[in-house]
Amino acid sequence: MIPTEPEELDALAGEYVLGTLDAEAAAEVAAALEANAALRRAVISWEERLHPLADLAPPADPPLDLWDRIAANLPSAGAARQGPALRRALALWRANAIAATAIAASLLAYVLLRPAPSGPPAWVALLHAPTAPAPVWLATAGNGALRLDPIAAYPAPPGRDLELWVIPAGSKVPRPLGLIPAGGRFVGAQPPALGSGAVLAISIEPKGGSPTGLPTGPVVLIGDVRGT
Amino acid sequence: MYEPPTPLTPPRMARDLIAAIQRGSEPALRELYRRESRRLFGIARRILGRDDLAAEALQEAFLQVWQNAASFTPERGDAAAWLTGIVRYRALDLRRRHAREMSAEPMPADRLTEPALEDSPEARLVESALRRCLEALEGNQRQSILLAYVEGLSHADIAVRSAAPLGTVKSWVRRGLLSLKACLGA
Repeated sequence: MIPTEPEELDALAGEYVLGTLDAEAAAEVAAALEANAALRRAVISWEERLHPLADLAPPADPPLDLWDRIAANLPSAGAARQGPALRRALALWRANAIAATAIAASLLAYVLLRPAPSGPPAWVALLHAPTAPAPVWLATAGNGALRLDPIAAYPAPPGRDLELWVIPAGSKVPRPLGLIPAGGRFVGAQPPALGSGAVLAISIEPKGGSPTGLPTGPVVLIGDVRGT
Repeated sequence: MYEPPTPLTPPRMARDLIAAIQRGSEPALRELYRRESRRLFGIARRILGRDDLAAEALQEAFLQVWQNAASFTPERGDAAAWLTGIVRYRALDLRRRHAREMSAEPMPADRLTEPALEDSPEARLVESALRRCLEALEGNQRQSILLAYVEGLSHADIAVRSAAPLGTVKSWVRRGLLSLKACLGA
């Protein structure tokens, strides 16, 4: 919970900037920044207030090939503009999250209560269009595996593939997880970035997947990862 | 009407580069890297204690700058502080992810000395209000804040390092931050 009381909010912002919060609390602050202007202002003030301390770390030469590695992984300028599109999708999705809650609750109950030989999944997510709460895929992860089971048919457009991404908690950079096979059933390794506050997303990509390692086409489905 | 070109001071330059990056200029990103990578790599390396992880933090940070330059909004005054923030949050995330190995690893030689205000005689910190206010703090509060900001130590890490209960460390940090803010008058 992000406090509303100004002094508590400011102290939390200070601890976030300082870096003493644990992963979960830090991810919660990071996720709230976009929507919570008071929190954002407090964080910016603390960043600027404490910034001179950064000079206590002696400068050091990064590896010589680091720029080349960065440049090789940059999405094209066109793809970079997908960033705002993804954020808009996320904002819309948040607006619809409340409507989705009832559907999510009943599916979650199903996931948790059905008998499963390997025990209940640790994480679940319901993927749905940013503008509509009806879930299209159910994602479950646990015991090292990530599964997607189709709830509704969602074929890729002709000549295109659907690609699955995880946006780790506190990050805005999607990481590719693989292509959704025709038929819609996906099984892959559980990505380490999957956890509370992470988001799963599916984008439409050229055949074979995004050539840049980041979504280049529209993000059509999105779902919040929740612990069970 | 002719306006003479304004000489670019460093803060202005970073802002101009970021504005160009917002328009999708890769050369501007490369120039920002050329100017800032030594400073930023130093910050990440001090938090992570490992060059490979520091490089990973810097790579993720520049990717984030490229995709997300629009988050540098006018409500931010200081472009360098914005960049530092991006690198520190990436480094802190990596540190949390690798927490187990990190506490087990011997500390590299340059981390054996704890951060101290005297470490950086030529830094902006000299004569700064922040330094004066840090010096006015109680020793435990000051050291906790320095260890957290510079080395990326969590509440729990500081508790281990200073052999103090977790609750005590949390209150050192919180009271230290409150006193700092009051002292800085903002």
